This record gives sequence, C-alpha cells and structure tokens, in this order.
Amino acid sequence: MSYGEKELIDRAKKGDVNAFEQLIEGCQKKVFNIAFRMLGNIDDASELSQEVFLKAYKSIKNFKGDSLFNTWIYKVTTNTCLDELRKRKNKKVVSLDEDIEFAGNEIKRQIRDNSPGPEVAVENNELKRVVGDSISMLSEEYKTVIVLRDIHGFSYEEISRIIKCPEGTVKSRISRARQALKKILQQKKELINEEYVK
Amino acid sequence: MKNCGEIIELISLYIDNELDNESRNDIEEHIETCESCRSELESLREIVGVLGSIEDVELPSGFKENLHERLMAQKNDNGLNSKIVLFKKKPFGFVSSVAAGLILVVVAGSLIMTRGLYGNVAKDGHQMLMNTHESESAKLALDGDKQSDESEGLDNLENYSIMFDEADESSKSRKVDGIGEAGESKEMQEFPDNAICSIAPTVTIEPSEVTAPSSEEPQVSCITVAGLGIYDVHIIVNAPDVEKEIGKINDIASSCNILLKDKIIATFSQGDSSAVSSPDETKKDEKVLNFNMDNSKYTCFIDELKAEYGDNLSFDDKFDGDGTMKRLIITVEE
Repeated sequence: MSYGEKELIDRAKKGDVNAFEQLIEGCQKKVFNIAFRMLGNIDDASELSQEVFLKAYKSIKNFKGDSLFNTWIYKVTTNTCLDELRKRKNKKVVSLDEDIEFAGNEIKRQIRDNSPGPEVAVENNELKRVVGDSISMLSEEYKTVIVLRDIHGFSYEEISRIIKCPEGTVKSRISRARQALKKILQQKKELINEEYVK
Repeated sequence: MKNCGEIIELISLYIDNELDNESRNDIEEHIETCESCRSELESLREIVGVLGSIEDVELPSGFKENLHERLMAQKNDNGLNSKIVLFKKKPFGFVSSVAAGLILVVVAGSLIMTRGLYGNVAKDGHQMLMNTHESESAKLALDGDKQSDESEGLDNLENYSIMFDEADESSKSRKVDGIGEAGESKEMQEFPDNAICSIAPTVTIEPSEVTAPSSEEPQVSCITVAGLGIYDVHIIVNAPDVEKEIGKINDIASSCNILLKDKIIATFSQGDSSAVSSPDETKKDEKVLNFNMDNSKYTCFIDELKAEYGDNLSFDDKFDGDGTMKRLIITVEE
C-alpha cells in the first residue's frame, strides 16, 4: 500500500469525506460496472454502487489494511450484489411465457419481442449484447467469477481474495462457469437458427 | 496421455495461461489430433474474447455529486455522536479509582470520627469544608463556579468530561494537564488542606492527587473536575492559491494536534456577508475548513494563526457570541 493511500485511509477512518472520495476515485467506474453486469440494469447498478460506497465509508474503520483498499471495495461490491440477487430471488418473478388464466380459460401471454432479428445478431456488437444477456442467466456463483475474470480481467489470485475462496476453487469455478455460458449461448443460437428456418 | 474429459477440464486454465508446461504440452498435443476438443477450445476462446471486449459503461451523470451529498449526510449523522471527547485512561487509572475509593472511606471515616455519625459537631476549620449539609455543599459548588469563571481558559463549560490528572504521554492531554494544574493550584490556595473542589454543575468527580498521608489525618488534595468546551471552528479561506493556504492551515492545525474535520468547497456570492469580497473581479475559490477542537487547542490554534496571518485573519463577530461556533476569515491578497 502506498504511503499516500495509507494516509488517505487514516483520514477517511476519521470521517474525512474528501479523503474517502480520493480513495474511491480510481475504482468507482469499476464498482459500477461490476454491479451493472451482476444486476443487469443501469439504475439498479447506480443505486447499488452508491450503497457500496456508503457502506464502505461507514465501515472503513474496520478495514485492517491486510489487503489492498480496492480489493476490499470489490469484496464489498460483490457481496452487496449477491445479497441483492438473493433478495430478488425471493420475490415472485412472472414468467413471460406462462399461461394466464383468464375468465376460466387459459390464454397465451403475448409479449412483443424487442430484440433484433438474427440478421443483426451476427454483428460484433450484437454478439456482445447476446453474451452480456447470457451472463444474467448464469447462477450467482458463475456470474460473479465471469464478471470478475472475463469482463474485468481480475487475476485468479485477486478473485480468490475478493470472493474469499481458495484459488483452486476459483479455477474450477471459472472453468465450469465458462462451460455453462457456452451452453446458454448454444441454446440461444439454436433458437435463433430455428426462427431463421421458419 | 490425457483423455478428452481431462483436457476439457484444463481448457479454461489453458486459455488463461495458468497451466504448467507439462499440462500445456498435453493439451497442445491432444488438440492436434482431437477435433472435438479443438472446437471446444475455439468456442471457449471466442466467448472469453467477446467477454473481454465488452467495454465499461460510463458512470451515470450526477453519480459522484449524488454520492458526495449522501456521504456528507452520513458524516453529519455520525458527527452528532462524535462530539464526545474521550480521554484514554492511563494504566494507573485503576490505581486512581482505588485511591478515590480510599479517600472517600477515609474522609467519611474522619467525618464520623471527628463529628459523630450525625455530623453536627464542627471541630475545626478543615472539617467545616467537609460539612455534609446541603447548603454548604451548594456554597462549595458555587465557589467552584466562581473559580471557573475567573480562571482563564475555563470560560466555556458546556461540555463536561472526566479529567484524569496523570500526565498523559500524548500531547492531546496538554489541555487536560493545563486545567488540572491551574485548577489544582488555585484550589489548593483556597482550600489548603482537605478539600473537595467542584467546578460548576457537574456530577463526576475524580481525585487529582493523593499526597502523602500525614500521621494525624489524611491530606487530601483537590478533587478536580474540568469542563471542556468543544469548538466548531469554520475557517473561510479566501486567497489566490487556496490549496496552499489550506495546506498551511492544516500544518498549523496539526502542530496543535487538531485534525481537519471537513473541507467544504463553498462559493459565496460577493454580497454574502460571511465572505470577504475580493478586490478584483476574478473569481477566487473560497473554501470553508471545518475543525473541531477543545479550548486549549483552540487557543493554540488561534495564536499560531495570528502569528502566520496577522491582519489577514479576522473573526466573524456574528458567530463570536455563540460560544462554541467560531468563524474565522483568512484573506490573502495577491
């Protein structure tokens, strides 16, 4: 830890907002983007990252300095994201293609598909979008490591510190997460192909 | 030779270059001959490549400003609780507590011995001070009150705290010691032998010193209580190079062992009475520095600031009468 960072941390521990803001300057965007990829939308990500920083400001007194400040912030970020995802899980989610009971008869729920057709999907940007969307279908565990490793490029060692798991676990989890993502993408591809054939 | 299952397990690490030479060679040899593992590697590589090329989204507009406000609100919430001044008790704190207990026992004992259980026979001047009647106590308290009014540096008594007399190693206790000595010596004059001195409407007492007990009766020196006023000091800095002045002020503050509580960037309109209007038209940055400090630190701080800034330092009278809230204005001309 650099001397400057240590001094800022000491000041932030005493409640100095200015020092705290200097500390988080370098990681704000990353925190926001991790939250965005984990939660899947900008508004929630914005609110959650603010929560992360408020939480960090409140609890910086407990930061012991045995890891880097940024690692600590990312740890707070992933934990807060996972809490939020778990909270959401408990809320009832309406399935889009579930049949609705209407006046005793079941009718098909019809939702317009806003996603562009397969012809656009071959473009690189689209591929990114499809891959990005597929991340949201991963389990929390897999989502976390994919976001940290493949989108944000954290090393295995850093991830092991952030999610508090042994490096061996991180390695196998990343491997399985990528396999799972590949599977989701394959299914999407098949769906697109089916549509195309129609 | 590894089978396909083992190779698939390792492909992810292979992509990330996390394998040792041996495993890497195994994979490279294997995919040369195994079509399905090769295509598995290619498709995973493609996915990892796409994931890596996903760009960061910019922070929403107003994110930092919003966060700043919330942090300030959070800080102020905490601020309400942070005015309690804590003094670290020295390891001898225990000893002094025991001493306090002993004094009480001895004093009570001597009262009982000299005046009987009902305490209505006064034998000499010393014991007068030990009078247990309410009115006398009240008078004593009043005396203490007067003293505090007279004694320098004790004019601000909104906040009270227990004072420990032993010289603390840290300079933080300069103030504490200062009062301790001042109070003690003064009270020692007025209550030469046994005295329980109390300053102002305080409840807590702490023995300041136990001098060697004489053969006849316990010599108890003053029980001293001092109040510490906590000043909320705002300094408006008005200078061509604000950061430089802030640096100076911070140095002065830390030389008096005061920490900057907060730095607020404030813009005052020229007409604002709280700001000193600058002679030139160019907009100068004005910043408000916020310090919390106790009385002795305040004295030290002001002395040092006067030495540094002289006439450039002025007090905002509007806040002077208030007591704990002080507003200073520092204006440095170009």
